[in-house]
Amino acid sequence: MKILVIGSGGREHTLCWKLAQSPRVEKLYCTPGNAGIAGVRCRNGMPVELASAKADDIEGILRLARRERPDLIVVGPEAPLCAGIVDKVDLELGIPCFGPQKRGAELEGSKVFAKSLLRKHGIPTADFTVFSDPEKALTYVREHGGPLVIKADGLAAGKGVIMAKDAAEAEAAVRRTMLDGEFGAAGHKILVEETLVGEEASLLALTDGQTLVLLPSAQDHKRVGDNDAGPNTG
Amino acid sequence: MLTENGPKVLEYNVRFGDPECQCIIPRLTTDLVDVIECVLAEKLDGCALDIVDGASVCVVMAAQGYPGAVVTGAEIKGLNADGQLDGAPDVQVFHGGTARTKDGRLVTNGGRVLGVTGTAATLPLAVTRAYEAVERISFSGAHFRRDIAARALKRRRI
Repeated sequence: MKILVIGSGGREHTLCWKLAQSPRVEKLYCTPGNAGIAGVRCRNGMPVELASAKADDIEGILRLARRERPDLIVVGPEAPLCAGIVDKVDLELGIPCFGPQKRGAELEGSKVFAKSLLRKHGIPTADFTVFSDPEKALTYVREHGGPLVIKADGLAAGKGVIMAKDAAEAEAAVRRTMLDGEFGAAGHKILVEETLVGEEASLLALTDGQTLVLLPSAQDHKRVGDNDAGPNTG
Repeated sequence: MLTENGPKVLEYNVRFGDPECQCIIPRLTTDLVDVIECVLAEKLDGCALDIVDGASVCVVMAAQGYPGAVVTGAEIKGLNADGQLDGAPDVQVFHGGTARTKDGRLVTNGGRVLGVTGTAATLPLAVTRAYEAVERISFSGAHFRRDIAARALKRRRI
C-alpha cells in the first residue's frame, strides 16, 4: 500500500521509519519531510519520496493526495488537525486519514475547551479562570498575585504558556498575550491558572473513540538547560 | 503533573507528542500499519500492542539560538548518506530540522535538529547508548541537555 505522512519533524521521521518496516508498505510519501526522512527506505528498497506542500497547506496536501492517491494518510502535527484536514480528506477524497476530526482536535486547539471539559467531568486539573477582556484579566492577576500560569487559548507552537512568579510578571504575560498580540488570535482568550508543583509525565494513548490503548509513559525535559534551567522549548 | 495531591491533567495533545514519539515508537514491535487500521476500523479492542521490555532515551541536539531564533545551514558531521550513524544498531537518529544542500551536504534547517534515540534492556544502558551516539555527531552551535533521564535513573526500576 501507499502511505502519505504529513509533517517535517522528528516525530514524522519516527513515523516514516516505523511505517517503512511494515511488509505491507510499498511506497511512502512525506510532505514536506526533511533530509533524514529522505534517507528512509521501505522494505522493497524504495526511498521515501518528499513533496513540497507544508504541513499547514491543506489545499496543497489535498492536491498531492488527489494526484498520488495514497491508501492512507498519517497526520503528524496539530496545526492541520485543528484546521480540519481529516474532515476535508474524508469529504473530498474518501481516503482513510489517521488523526482526529476537527471537533476532536479542539481538545488541543482550544485550551479553554479542554479545561472546561476537564472541569465538567471532574477530572483533576489546575484551578483556572477564563478571560477574554484584557482589563479584567489584568485586574484579576493584580489582586490575585503570583505565582500564576498564563496560557493563550489557541495554538502557539508550544510557546503560549507563560509561568509568572508574581503579579508583575503575570501582568506582563497578560499584556504580551492579549494586548501585544505575541501569539496572534490564539491569545484573544486566555486562561489564568494556579501553578502546580510536581514532576511532569507524558501519557500517549491510541483511541478509536471506544477503546483506549496506552503506550509506555515518557518524560519530556522541556527546559533548554540542564537541571531544568532556561526557557521552555515548546 | 504528578502533584502531592495526586496526578492532575496539564493539557491534551491530539497527536503523537514530540519528542516523546521518538522514544516510544522504537519500542513498539507491532506493525504500525495494522495498529492504525485497527483505529480507523474502530476495532482497537481486539488489537494488542507489543512493546519491547527495556527503555529508550532520546537526546535532542538543538541548533544555536534554540528555543529562540536559530542559525541554519551549519554542516552536520558524523552521519552517513542516509543520515544515520554507522555501527550503532541500537541507535536511531531522527531528523527534526535537516536539509541537503545541492552538493549533498547535510545541514541544519531548524531548531530541534536531531533526536538521537538509544534503546536498551536497561535505562542506564539506553542513556549511555544515546550519549555515546551524540558525541559522534557534531555541528557548529550544537547544544543538548546532559541530564536526560536523570530523574528516572534516580528512581529506576528498569
